[in-house]
Amino acid sequence: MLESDLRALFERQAASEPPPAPVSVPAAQRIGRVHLRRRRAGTVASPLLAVGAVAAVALSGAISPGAAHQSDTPRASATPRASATPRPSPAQTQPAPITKAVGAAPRQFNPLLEYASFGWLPFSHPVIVGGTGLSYEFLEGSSPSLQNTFNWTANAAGACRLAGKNLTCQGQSVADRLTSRAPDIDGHVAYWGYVPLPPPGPVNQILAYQYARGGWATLEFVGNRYHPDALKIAQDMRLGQALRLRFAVQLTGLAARWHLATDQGFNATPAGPLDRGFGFISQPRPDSNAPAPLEITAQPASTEGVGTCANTRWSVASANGSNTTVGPGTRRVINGYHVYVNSQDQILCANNVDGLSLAIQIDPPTSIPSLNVVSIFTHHLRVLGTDPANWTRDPIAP
Amino acid sequence: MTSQRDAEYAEYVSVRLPALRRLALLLCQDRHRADDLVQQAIIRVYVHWVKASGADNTDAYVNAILVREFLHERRSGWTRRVRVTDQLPESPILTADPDGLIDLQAAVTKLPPGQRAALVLRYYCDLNIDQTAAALGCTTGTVKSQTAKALAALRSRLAGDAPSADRQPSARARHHSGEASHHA
Repeated sequence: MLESDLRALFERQAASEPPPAPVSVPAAQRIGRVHLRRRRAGTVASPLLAVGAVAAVALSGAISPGAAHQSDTPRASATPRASATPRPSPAQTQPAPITKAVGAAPRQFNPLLEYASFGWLPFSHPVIVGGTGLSYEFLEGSSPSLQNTFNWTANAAGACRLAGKNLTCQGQSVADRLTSRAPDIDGHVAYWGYVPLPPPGPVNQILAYQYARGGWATLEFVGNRYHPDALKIAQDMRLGQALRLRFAVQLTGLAARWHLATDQGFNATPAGPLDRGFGFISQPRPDSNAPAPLEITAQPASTEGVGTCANTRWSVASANGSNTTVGPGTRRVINGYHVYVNSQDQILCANNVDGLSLAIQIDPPTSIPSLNVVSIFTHHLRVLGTDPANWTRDPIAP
Repeated sequence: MTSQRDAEYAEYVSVRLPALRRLALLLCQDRHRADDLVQQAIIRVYVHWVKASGADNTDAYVNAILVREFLHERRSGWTRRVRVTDQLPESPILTADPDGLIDLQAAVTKLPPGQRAALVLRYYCDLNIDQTAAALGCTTGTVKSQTAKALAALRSRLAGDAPSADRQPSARARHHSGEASHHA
């Protein structure tokens, strides 16, 4: 009797007329991308770490645009990562020549450069996603159906520590139950293990190994341990390439202390548009240790469901890791473009600016006294369109 | 991440959104909290979309994410998050009570989150014990005990008896009653 009453109650509640949904799918995608990036970087709750690293790099000058001329090979296609790394199909018996890393792992990665690429993947037309921060670079290769994925992450020298059966990078556990030795990879130690705290469903496996002296890499995949494809992928990674990336937007007229902190992009195989999102982080203000991050995301405007601004609510991930749902932005016309501006939370979203949808966010909102999202959009941002031929290798220009 | 992945994700979530909101409403017994929960859950679905879309039963996988997010967030105090809205407070979910369900709803609202989740999964989602355990990430024994405790608490409340936890007198009451018995 009580059980039937419960069913009736639940059915009635579920059938009641709901108000318009304040839930935002594009916001979930945007926040989800941030989570993915941080998860891959092993910095889920430590944006401060990244900012601190930027300050250190600024002092050494290692990230200045001029430091990125080791290889300036032009890229012909709309998919820089893909064009830089031809991927043989499984049917090819002779893998392409492999560039092995030598010596020590980099102390920092350069977001202007591509350090690594896949030398081999078990898919004939993989979808490649990649991103670089100061302390990491990740590449994800998926089957065309996206059902099968290999996620490779390299961490900067000294960023990781192997303690017992657990590998931590930047203070975050990235692999645990490293109980079985895998065959050495390029002469370095390797272990099979698991991704910590898996969600419901299949447990992801991981191959953790030293890709160069002092630097750990992980390859995450779904499947059985001792996956032969995982071993071959790890063995065939091309490392130490230092190829320059191109960007669809450019910041201009900012103080010299601004540097590119992270970037992320992907190649939608086989010839889809390159989607390049990237973030900028300024130095901490002289009078404060507070970070002043500015993130700009550019995506093809035609991508359905992404970058759509006409939502009444935003989910904002604050610097302390919590999320807050905030009110709607105000629709405005700036330089002839329709944009949505949330001044309180310093978010600007544009559905279509020369073929790109844009999202600009300053977090924390008051962290850059001299700038706001509108002034950045109006005076400091060049949108270079969807044609990669017009893109730039210098995302921050004088 | 990728255009294709994003498009598939957006299509799936858009179609499933009403069902997710209904499930969240039953878990939270509050529309605003339910929508917050759904927002958090679909972020997690995005992060794990490759696994979700590749699961044998994507709907069950996503439901499990929602339920676990509910239990996890309840533990971590997410309901304290700031929320800005231009909407008026909602009216009660049930405005008429032809079957005497308002009392039952009130009783369900007072159940601990784990017990409420077990009931929703068993009697709304029609999951069996094993499926409920998989969704909650616990053993079948825990599901049985949670369900039994929940039903007992509901019967007790509907019968007019406060459950044992509610019958615990306050410290002040215990003190006074103790004094009374002592004096007696």
